[in-house]
Amino acid sequence: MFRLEAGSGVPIYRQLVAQVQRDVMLGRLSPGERLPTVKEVVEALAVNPNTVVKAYGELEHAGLIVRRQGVGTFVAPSPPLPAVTAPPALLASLHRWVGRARQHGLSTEQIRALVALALDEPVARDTVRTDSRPGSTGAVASGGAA
Amino acid sequence: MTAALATDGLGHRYGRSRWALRACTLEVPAGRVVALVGPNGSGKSTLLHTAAGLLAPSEGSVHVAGAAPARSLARIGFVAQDAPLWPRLRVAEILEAGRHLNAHFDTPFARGRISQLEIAPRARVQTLSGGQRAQLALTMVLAKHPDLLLLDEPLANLDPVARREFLASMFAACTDSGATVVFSSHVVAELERICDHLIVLRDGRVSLVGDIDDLRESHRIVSGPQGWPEPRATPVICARDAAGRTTALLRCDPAAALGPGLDETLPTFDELVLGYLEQPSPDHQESVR
Amino acid sequence: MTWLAWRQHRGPTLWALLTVAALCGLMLWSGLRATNALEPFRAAGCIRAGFDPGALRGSHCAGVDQFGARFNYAIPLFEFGVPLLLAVIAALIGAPLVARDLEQRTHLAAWTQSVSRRRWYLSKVVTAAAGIAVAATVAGFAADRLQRPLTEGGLTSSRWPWFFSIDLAPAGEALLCFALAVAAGAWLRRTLPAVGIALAGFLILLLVTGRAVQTLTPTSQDTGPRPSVPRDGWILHGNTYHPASQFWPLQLTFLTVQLVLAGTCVALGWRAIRHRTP
Repeated sequence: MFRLEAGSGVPIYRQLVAQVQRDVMLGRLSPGERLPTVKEVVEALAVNPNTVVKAYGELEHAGLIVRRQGVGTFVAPSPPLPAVTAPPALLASLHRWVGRARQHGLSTEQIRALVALALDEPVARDTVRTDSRPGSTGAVASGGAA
Repeated sequence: MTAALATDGLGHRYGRSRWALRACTLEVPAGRVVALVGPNGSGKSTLLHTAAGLLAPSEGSVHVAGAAPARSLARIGFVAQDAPLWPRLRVAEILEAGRHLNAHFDTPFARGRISQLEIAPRARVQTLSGGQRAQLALTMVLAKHPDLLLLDEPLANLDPVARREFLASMFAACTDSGATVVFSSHVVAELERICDHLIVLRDGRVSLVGDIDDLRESHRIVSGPQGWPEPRATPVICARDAAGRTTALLRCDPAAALGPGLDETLPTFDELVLGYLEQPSPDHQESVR
Repeated sequence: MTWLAWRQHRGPTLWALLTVAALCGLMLWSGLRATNALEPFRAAGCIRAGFDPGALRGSHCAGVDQFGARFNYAIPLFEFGVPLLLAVIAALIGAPLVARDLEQRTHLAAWTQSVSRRRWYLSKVVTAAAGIAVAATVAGFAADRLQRPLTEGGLTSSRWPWFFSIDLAPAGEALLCFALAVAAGAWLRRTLPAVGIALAGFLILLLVTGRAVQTLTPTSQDTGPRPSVPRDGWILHGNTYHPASQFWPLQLTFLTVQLVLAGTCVALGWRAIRHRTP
């Protein structure tokens, strides 16, 4: 269920946290669903177990998941993140927009930067003219955890 | 709690005057996965060999879980570079050797791991691929259920698939045992997903050590107009000019403000490590020679 | 540890044991044939100390020189062959014992198990040395069994060279050559040069120690009008000999000298291993 992006500058545990948050919000993970064990994640991704433990710890701290000793790790019955029930039209227009961005030859990174910019609009409007802020991609992935 | 690996002023000298490692003081907390990074000849193998009890310190001390390595061989699992094993022995015989050479050797675990990896027990070591031999060597040390696993360039000669399989199965085993892992690498790429603690060696000296998240938090990549930064104004690790701007890696207080006109960001893992590997080291030169 | 040492070196070791067994068989068979061939002459009273088979021509003992012709081959083959063959075998077992591990870097795997470096070294050396000692002792007694009828049949003008091929002497020599090979392997870290150095060193030491032991006890000399050496005397040359009573003291002295030298070599090898950096 996890995918890692090497060299994105985002610490791996943050990537894991963000992915669980996203999947819970999008309803891909439903409340009470079992998450893979640390060992399963480690074997699938070849990542350091401490990273996974740290990510799960953070998710547990945020109340997103619960760990039951000897049973496993589960999505909390009522996670403190409201599920996004995006109107289909909104999602469709987003898809169209991404398609257009790609036609303009923008890379995934650049698209993300634009989205981040749009989200931070009042702050970012000045800086876009001078220079785009470095590290803005990290802001997207880690934004949900804050 | 006792550190899994602790050195204090550790040095090793080959011959009369060639110091391979000097003034090395560090503590690795238990359970960490530690990357030991440095260019070739920076003392990585020497540090691992002293920790494995293969080399006696010329000065200072090294302790594994509070005891001298040579006295805690049963608690240390060491795999040398290229995972040397007796080439004419069969896989099953390697495990048998492990059983004979260790008072506590988990033979069922080792056999299970070999069959899980689909390595033929009747195959001779010399017919195995590099990845299989690395896995066999790892199996042999994991069956000791060591507290400290020392791996010298374990990934150097593995293809990407073998590398991934090696890491996945090593981490899976460590998830169960909670062992501390220290491994050396002269390649920085991909280390981020492997380690959570970092030791950077340069010319036989420790130039950076700590938990990676802490290290990233305490450093900044700052870019500004060319000619910045002021010399010695802030602890600059390394700086580079490009396209009319100077970009530098700084070590700084997380709360410190750097001043106007500068863009700052947290360094990525690679930026952090490469910054320290490129750090000019004028003041160490004469003592190392 | 013994298991690993045996498993690592069992191939060559089995070959060595087979070779020694074949050598012993050959010597016992030749010895038996020689005894049988000699029987009629012994019955006829033809055999006495210091006799010259050539001088018996024409008498009823004339057939003794036929004996000489039949068994002449055995002198160079076994008198010198036994120590040399055992030395070569000992060198071939001793040189790779440590050097092979250092060559293949498998010492790094061995030294980081739960076995101390000292135990690794000693158990390897002691296991191999025990096997070599047993094989060489068996060969020594088989050579003695062969030497008796040959000497009795007057085949040699000097019996002394047999001294180094029989009873306990071969065990001492083989162990010395083995220990030289182990030490050379530990220092050179390479098998083949270690074999060469061990054999060369062994030959030199054998000449020196052999000479020393030979002169350890004053020799006896028979200077009668018809000089004759006692039948069981150890003739050095002409009528100079070591009396039979000196044989075992000299054998034990020779063995002790070889063992002390071998022990020194093993200690030197340990020095190299103990200070060996990976």
